[in-house]
Amino acid sequence: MHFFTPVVDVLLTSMPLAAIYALLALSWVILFRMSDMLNLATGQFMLAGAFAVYYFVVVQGWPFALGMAVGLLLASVVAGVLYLLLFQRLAGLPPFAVIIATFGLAMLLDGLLSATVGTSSYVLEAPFEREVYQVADGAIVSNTGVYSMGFTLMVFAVVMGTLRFTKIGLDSRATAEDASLAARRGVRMRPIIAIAWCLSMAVAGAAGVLNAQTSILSVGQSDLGLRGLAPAFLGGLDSIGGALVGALLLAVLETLSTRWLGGSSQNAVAWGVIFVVLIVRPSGLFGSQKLQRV
Amino acid sequence: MTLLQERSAPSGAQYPTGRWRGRRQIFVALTVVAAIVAPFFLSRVHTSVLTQMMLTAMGAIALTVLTGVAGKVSFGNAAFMAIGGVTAATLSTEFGAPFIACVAGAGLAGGALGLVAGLPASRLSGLYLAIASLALHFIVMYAFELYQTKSIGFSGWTMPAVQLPLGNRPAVAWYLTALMALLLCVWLFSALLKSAVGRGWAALKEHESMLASSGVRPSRATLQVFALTSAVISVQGAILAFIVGSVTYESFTLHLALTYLVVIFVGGVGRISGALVGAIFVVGAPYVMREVGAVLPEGLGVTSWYLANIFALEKSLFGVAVLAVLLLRPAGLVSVFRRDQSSRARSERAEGTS
Repeated sequence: MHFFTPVVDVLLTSMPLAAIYALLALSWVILFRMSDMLNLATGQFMLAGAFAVYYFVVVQGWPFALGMAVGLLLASVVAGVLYLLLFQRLAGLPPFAVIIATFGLAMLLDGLLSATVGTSSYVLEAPFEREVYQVADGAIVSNTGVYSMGFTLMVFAVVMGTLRFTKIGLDSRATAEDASLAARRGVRMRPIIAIAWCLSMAVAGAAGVLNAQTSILSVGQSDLGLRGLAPAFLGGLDSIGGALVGALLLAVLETLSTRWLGGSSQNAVAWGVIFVVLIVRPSGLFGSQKLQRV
Repeated sequence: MTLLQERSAPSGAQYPTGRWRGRRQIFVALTVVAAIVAPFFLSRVHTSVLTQMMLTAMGAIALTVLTGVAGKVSFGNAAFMAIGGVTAATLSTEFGAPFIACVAGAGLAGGALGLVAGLPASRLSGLYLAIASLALHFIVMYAFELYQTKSIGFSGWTMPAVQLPLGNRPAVAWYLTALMALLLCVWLFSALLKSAVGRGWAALKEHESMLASSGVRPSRATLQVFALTSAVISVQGAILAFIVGSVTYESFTLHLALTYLVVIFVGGVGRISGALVGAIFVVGAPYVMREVGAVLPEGLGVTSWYLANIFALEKSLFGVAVLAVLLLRPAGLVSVFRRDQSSRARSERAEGTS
């Protein structure tokens, strides 16, 4: 057994979780960058997107890729409408009241989901045969992990590319930098933030789909969405690349803590890390320092 | 200092003047008398619903002082209730301490942890403090889980029966205990908010450096408000533990903590009356929904659907209520009862002071 094997093993084992965390963190970061808000309904967004995909893929029997695209698109339209109808009108409230409003949204979505799909578990099969590869002595990796990570990296590449090279991306970066200044330069805020809501929902829904393939799909899993705040915060709440790094770090940490301390320590480890980051470096690993709110 | 006083007034204490002051006192006195007499005329179920309302209001008042008045955002209610519950459980089952000693011990333990929670509060502000309290919640709950599984086992503690006066009617006895605790809590915080200490807390939200320049140490005021409100929440948790009869970490979820935030925001954040109104709504609404389910005609499709999905409907109702209040009445339900200002002025002020 090679010296590196345990390290490689832990990295590979934490890959599916890292992929899910990365997408969830991205969902938090997208909304935080745009409107300085923490969306406590991220878990419900995740489930809403995943259930929409489930509807098209399993109930309607569409091909996986098409069903996923249509399901996430539909869910993201709902998110955009939610912003335009509700949250746009709450914009003047103090930030904390808006967070409570997202909790209200979370409860509403939770109630609607429970009333429609119930509390039972659903299976959303991956569109490929499950296989496990032997990488080195004792270190194995499943193709689910590889595909999840590949998909996540692709999503990040698309989002970062869009932000970097398109007009919408430029406008949204300007909005994230300084909303009132951007507005004065003729950036139209409402569509930009509405797009951010759509994107946030789509990304969270994609995380839900990945999660459904590594475990199951059920209403009780919304807490996972909240845990996505941990990697987002670790990487820096306004940093998209940071979300990816934070997700990797946290997934490895949780894998280790599950091995050493048992399954129930996951949450405590994640939030313990956050607590330390808060005291030492409140803006996260890659966040910008201007975030200090007074 | 005049600026501080002016701006602290609306968020905390209210100063009725002239003839309103006298009427208000009579109104309060009548309400208290009615509340003392009420359980002797009510059914057991109604009495225990009211008990739950009063205890919820107690925790909500502490939170509204911390979050609404002092501006220190906290997701910590469930964790502090848990501290209260676990302290009371340990003191009563391990050491056989009487009820009042358990409650006092819970208050001390909660106050001590409140000091710890207040330490990062001097360094962090706004959303960061909220996230810190979220982190604290999960860390405390993990410690609780470890302690529980090591010392008593998965199912948690069973609280011993308490010998209260009116022992043949425990629901009434607990009602009166909760009422006493709530009245003490209301009296304590409304007196404090009118005092220099309370004005210092209110100033924390407005401008810490200005507070420092007027001779109050912000870090000290922060620790004060954290310790006191946390102690009150822990006392509430301890009393609740005795009433429920058992303590286990599983009942103190983040959802519970968030529910307290719903209480204060629906009622009217920063106001003691808001916490009371919010508690009535949050505890009363599920009860009313169950009553509605009981009177719906049997056999209909609607009725069976309603009863099968009552938890989902409850959640949806809460969600809609929170969103509706924040959209239409940002100053909370309590602003419906106040006639002295137009709703626009209130909502503007709610924006301005937060």
